[in-house]
Amino acid sequence: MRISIRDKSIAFKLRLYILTGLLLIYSAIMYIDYRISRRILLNNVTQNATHLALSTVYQIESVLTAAQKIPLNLAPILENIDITEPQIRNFLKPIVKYNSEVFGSAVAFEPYSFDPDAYFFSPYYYVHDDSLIYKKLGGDEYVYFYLDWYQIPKTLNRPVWTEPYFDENGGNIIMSTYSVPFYKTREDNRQFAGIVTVDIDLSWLKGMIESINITKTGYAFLISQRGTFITHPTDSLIMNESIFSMAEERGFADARRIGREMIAGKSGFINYNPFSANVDAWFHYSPLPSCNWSLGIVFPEHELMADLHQQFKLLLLLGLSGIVLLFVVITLISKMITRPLVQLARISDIIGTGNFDVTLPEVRGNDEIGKLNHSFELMKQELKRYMENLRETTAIKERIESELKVAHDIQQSIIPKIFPPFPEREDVDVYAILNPAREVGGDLFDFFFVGDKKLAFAIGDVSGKGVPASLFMAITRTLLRSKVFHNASASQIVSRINSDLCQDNENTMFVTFFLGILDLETGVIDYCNAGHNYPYILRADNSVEALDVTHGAPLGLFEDMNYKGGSVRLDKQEFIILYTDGISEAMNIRGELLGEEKLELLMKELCVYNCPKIIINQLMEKVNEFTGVADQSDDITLLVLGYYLKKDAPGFSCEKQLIISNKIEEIARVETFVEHTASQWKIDPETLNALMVASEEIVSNIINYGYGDQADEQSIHITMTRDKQRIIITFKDTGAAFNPLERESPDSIAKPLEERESGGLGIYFVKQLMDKVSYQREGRFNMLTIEKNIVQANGE
Amino acid sequence: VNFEQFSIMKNKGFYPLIVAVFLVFPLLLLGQQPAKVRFMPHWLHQAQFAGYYMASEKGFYSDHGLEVEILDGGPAYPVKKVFVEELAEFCTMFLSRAIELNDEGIPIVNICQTSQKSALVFVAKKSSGIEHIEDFNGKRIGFWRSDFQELPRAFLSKYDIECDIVPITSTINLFLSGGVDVMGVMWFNEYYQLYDAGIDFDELNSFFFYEYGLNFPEDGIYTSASFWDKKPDVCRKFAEATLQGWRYAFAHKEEAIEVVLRYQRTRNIPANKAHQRWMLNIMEKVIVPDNPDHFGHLDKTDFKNTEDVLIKSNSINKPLIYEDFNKR
Repeated sequence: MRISIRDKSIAFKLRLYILTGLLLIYSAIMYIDYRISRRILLNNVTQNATHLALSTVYQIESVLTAAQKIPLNLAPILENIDITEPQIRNFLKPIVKYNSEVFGSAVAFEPYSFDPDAYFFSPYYYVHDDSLIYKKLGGDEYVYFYLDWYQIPKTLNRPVWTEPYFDENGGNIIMSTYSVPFYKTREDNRQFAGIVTVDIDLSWLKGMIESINITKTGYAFLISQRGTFITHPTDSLIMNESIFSMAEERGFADARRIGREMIAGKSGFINYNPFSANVDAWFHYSPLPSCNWSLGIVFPEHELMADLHQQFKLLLLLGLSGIVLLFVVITLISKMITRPLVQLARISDIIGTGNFDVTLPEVRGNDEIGKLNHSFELMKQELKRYMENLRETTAIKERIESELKVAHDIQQSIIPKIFPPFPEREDVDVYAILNPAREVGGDLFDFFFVGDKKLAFAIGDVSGKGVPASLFMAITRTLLRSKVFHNASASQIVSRINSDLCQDNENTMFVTFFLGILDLETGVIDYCNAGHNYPYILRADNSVEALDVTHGAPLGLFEDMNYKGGSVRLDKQEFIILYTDGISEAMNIRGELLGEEKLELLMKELCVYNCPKIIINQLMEKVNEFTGVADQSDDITLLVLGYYLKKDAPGFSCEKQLIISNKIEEIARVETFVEHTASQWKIDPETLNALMVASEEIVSNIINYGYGDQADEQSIHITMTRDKQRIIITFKDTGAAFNPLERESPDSIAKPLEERESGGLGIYFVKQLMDKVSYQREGRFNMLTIEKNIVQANGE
Repeated sequence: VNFEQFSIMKNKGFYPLIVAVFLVFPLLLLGQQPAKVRFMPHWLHQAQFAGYYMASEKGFYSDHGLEVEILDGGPAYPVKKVFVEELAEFCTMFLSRAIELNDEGIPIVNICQTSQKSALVFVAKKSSGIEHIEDFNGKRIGFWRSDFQELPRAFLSKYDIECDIVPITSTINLFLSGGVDVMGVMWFNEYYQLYDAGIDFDELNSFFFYEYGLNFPEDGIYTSASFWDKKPDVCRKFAEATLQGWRYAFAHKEEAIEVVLRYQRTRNIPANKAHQRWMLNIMEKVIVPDNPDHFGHLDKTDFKNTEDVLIKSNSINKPLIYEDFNKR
């Protein structure tokens, strides 16, 4: 999993950012410091190298120039006097004897110029095994006229240091000869007469140059005027190799150029050693002017830079220590900052669980953390206070709610709620519902007999909702009951209620109201509509008629309003439907209203039913279909009154219910129930018989198989309803889910009775006997419904 | 023939032993010890003689039944002295010098002519303004005063140069210091020494003898006529093994250079690897002929040309007979 840097802790971020920044700055400083120190050091090294080279050159030069003076002083003497051999020996002997650096000295004459009979004449003193030896040079093997030490100064007419060479008398001694020509003037003609020489043993050079202290592995070397090594720490190079062969074998490309500069008598300082690619080193060279030799000094870079590197390492160590220290300090500081934060976070979690008594961490000082802590303390206290308030408020609310519940119960109790209300009557049936949108509502309905022959029924809708509306509704209902008396017309009653309501109605609340008084003998309804929705009448010919008359403003608005009335007649099997605007203005989630038109269409569909309860249930189903999941916005009240002539009234009720337990003995009660109900509904004996057989069969099935061996007592609900065309019996039980219709199979009929599957035969007969059998599972209930069409006895 | 027995012998490695015995036996019968001979190069040890060292080093001489002692040559041992005092059986020298020696009454024969091309060069610093041969007129020209004079002189006389001739013993220092304007040098030796003294090749004007119609072959192997008459086989084998040594040296230059340096160091001769490498490379140009068949041959025309020069310069009195001189 990749963790973003944003998810890291503050301490981590502080360390990362500060240390990274610091490291960058520190590196830059280190780099710059290194460059500057290096430059300073380089300057010093250059100066030191130059100084070292010059002092070395001076030391060598002082010896060489001292040696040079010997033949230079001797030559004029030879020119001016005619000298004898012993005299020459007297000159040469002390020269060799008393000058330690002089290995030998000679005076070499031109052929026949010293002695007209002698081709060679060259007296020579030299040192051999610490003793002075005298000999005369020259012979067939040693024709000195053609040797460098003689020939070159002679040809060039000037003193010359020869190329260094090995001592010819053996011994590993390198020598160089300083040769000075001398001349004789004969007959005004100055002619070359010979050479005076000193041979200088160069072995002291090696010792001297090796003693130059140049760092640990640095070294110096000397090359001759033609580039040959005269001294070098590597002995095998001496007299064998030259600076140029070395350049050829292992040098850089421009090594040869540097070598040429060296033998040309130039000096310089370069930051690499052109004669060795192996080691990083610097190289200084300077000439020895008297003999055209050149001194080279090699400074290994790492040794030159040793101090600088030491300093750099120390700085690096200090810097890193500083960073480590800073790391610790940052860690401590960030801990100091974040510890209270972490604690606050933990405590806020605890507070979140509702515990306000937790103590906040102690934070000293009034910095940001202190302020945050203070704010937290305030927040905690505020939350605590708020929660207490909330608790009180909730308690109050709960009290109000319980009071409202009581109010609801009271309100429900003041409207009729026992249905069927008049079971003993065969000529009329009423069913009504009141569903308040809130606990209590402003709708009302009522019905009651006025004497034996008249039934008063009313519906109303108080403006507004809730408690005030419910109180107003209660008043209205009370007034209704008190104002109705024998022979008073609906309009009179309504007018009286109005005038009473108008008194002290400071809130100008009002109620739409419909009052009807049905004469049960004639079927005529005397009614008065005070601004209420128009009732509908379902006529026996399946037509719907709206009672679209209003007799005045709603009650409670105008005290002196004189309401008129109207009348309408119901025929047998006709129904009047009263409703409040909770129906007509039922709203779906799209904000569309049901409306009068749609309502009237719905009414037409209801004509098939001849029972007020079914009508209301069907209507509510339709209305709920329309509103869907939308909240009920207004109180809904429905009242349906069915009027039957005596002889064909449906009976006490169009719905009978029996509740039995799951015991086989209860089947006898079912038989009695069906028989009694059917006789009330004047059902022909054949139909009755079929219904009885079917019911008996089904109930025994449910008890035997639906519950099986279940020991505890369960109830089976049997509901019997009728409409104009059929009888419907519904069996509702809590047994195991079981659809008997699926068990039935035509094959099983052919089998002997004892082999048939249990219940299979019964259901088969039920289906034969009934016009329709249906089953559905509703929640934990099995619902089995059987229908039997009836033949209308009156032959309609 | 018992085939079974034969196969057993073969399997046990018996057969090669028999073969070896048959091969070695005749040599044992002859009973010849390896012939002991001495060889004297005509100068100090250097790559100029690499072929001889390699022949000895790689066992080519002993392969030829020779036990060769390589002596230290140098200025102390002029070739005349070598033959007069019989210091060595074999010796190298320039063709011209060999002809002269015969004329001086020392009968020597050429048994192998290694050098096919003259390595002589006249060099002049460009700064001296000498561009052409005619510029030599009136200048100081240095060359060796010993065995090698005739050819430079022949060069100068061929082009009618009037100049001061300065004899030099051995070093290039006079030229370096400006004491002479032109110097005769060997291509493989002093020519490189100039470079090794810091003078770039492009600072020099060089006059290669072979480019001026004076291609005198130089190094050859010589022995006395009497030794040839006595042991021509030994002479032939020495020549053959030496040529083999040269072939090896040219094919394994770095190895050969190390051997040369070893010869030099053990005798305290200035040893300069770069110089020896140069020398060996030039020796290859000088020795390996255009025609591979002429490896080690003395061309009669070259011989005649060299002889002519010597006669013209009065270095010799009478011509030699090529066939008497060249023995193979």
